[in-house]
Amino acid sequence: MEYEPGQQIGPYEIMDRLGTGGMSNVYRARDPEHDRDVVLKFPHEEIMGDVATHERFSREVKIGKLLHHPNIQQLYELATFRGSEYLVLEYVPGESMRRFLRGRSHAPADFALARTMGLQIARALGYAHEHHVAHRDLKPENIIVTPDGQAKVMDFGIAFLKGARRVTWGPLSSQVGTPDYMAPEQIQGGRGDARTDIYALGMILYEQVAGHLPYSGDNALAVMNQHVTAKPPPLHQFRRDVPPALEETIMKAIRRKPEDRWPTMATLIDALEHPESVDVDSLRREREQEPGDLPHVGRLAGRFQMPSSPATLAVLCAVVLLIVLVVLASHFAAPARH
Amino acid sequence: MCHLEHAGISDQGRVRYRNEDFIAHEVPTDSEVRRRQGCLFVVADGVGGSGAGNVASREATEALVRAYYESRRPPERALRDAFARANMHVYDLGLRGGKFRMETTMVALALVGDCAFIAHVGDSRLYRVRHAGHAEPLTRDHSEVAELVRMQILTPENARHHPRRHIITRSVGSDPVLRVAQRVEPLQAGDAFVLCTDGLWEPVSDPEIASAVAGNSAEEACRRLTELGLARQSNDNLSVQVIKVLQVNKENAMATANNLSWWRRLFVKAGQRPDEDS
Repeated sequence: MEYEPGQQIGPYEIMDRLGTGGMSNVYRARDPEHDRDVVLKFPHEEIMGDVATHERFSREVKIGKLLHHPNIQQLYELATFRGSEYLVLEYVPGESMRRFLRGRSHAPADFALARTMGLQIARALGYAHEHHVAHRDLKPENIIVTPDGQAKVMDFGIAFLKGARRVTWGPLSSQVGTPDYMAPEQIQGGRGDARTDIYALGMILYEQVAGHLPYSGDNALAVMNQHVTAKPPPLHQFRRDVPPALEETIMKAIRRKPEDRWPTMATLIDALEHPESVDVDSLRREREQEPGDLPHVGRLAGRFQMPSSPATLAVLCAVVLLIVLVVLASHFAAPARH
Repeated sequence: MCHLEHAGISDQGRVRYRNEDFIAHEVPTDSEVRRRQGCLFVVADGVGGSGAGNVASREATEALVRAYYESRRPPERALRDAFARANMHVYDLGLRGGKFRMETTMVALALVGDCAFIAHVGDSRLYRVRHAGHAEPLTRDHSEVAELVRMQILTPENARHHPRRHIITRSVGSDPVLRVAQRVEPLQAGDAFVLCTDGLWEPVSDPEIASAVAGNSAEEACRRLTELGLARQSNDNLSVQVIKVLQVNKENAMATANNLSWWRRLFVKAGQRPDEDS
């Protein structure tokens, strides 16, 4: 279902379409009663049609309405129009953090800015975690930066709706999101919890400081494989002047195992707020003690490996030599019979 | 020529506005065509709700069936060429259609003589039920989660709830160069084949598919599978075709064998399954 500007949806008047995502159509609308702009989000019908998904959605919405935080896009209500449900949300002017970061990509990373932005997002998430809500799909696309520099986190708790629509890899496909901020436990099929958000926030901060993410690859599979198996290069490799406390704070947030990360958002906030309290040396030691890249768990693992020991190599060489000799011998021996 | 019993159902589900799946079968009446090209069964699942998935699946399937029977080449090659033709057809439609992408998954089964020729792209599946209680998948999904399972990062159980489970890595119409996965299987009397879209295999487990097929007519099996699938997950289209091989005509066995390349024959005779991506 698509709506035109000027159309009346319940008490709201559609102003313009903000976008069509993988899970919903999004519009800006006018709320004359409260004299404010709002965002209307219409989840696609085929997603909401599933009973279990719908139940979970209603539950998340109920919790979402309880969240009031300056760094979280406010959810006002869940309303119905002609039988289809839609969300009414706070309208936040500004640009997505993705665009915000891109716009600054030429300037050297501003550590103070990374810290304040990180703190705002961390406080929003910490507040949500206290209410037992994890975001599970945190990425710069889901964060709006307002003109006065406030970060607002969107799409709380409804990340699970994303899996419900099929998309394909391909040159024309733009709907396949990146797994760049997915925690290893999520890639491995876990539901994810507060520590999953800590990982995602760590990735966002890493990107902000280093200018790029720790992992990259030709396709999503290569990236996901690295999240699960690789050890991220420390930030000072890219930025020599990164404050050690900030570096270790970020590196601890993106450890592979959830139990190695900051245990709660509150501890991460504390580390960002009071860098002098961060025990840089022990964190670095802990990080460096972590085993390096895990063995590649690719398709070829354990099957077509080159022989590693000298003994096997020697035997192989001998066999090849023998074959060559036999072939040569028969080649030269044959004419002699005539 | 073999004796078959077959049935198919494509259901819209209870929520979707339209059915983006498409199923087709072709059982030639001309005995010469049937001897040479056999019977063809196709299931396709159009991708992308905002695009024209229903058009993509229908156009691809029809182009495939047409191209397959127009071909004068051996079945395996004919099937591959037909996939390429269907792909170009849908790709062109997609380019002409502007903002609507045209993509579809497709799985095809050609039964010729004593061989089953299988080709697929995407995450629609083909199962064979040969032994009671066991539905053996003869296709490997071209999807991100299937790839993660293969890389041993993900377990099959966790794949069912994975947030990226609906991302497929290949589809008909997304790229002018299509890689089709193909294989050849020897036929046995009593074999049953199930072609289906994710609307069926997601909510219904492999053993359940096997037990619905065993002992029931093809029509009854389709009905049971559809009911089971819709009862558990009603928000997707669901399509299934069941083909039961009643009798394999050995007289034509040689005809089929001649259609295979020599190394293929080696594999088929040895009972092995070459699974080739071309």
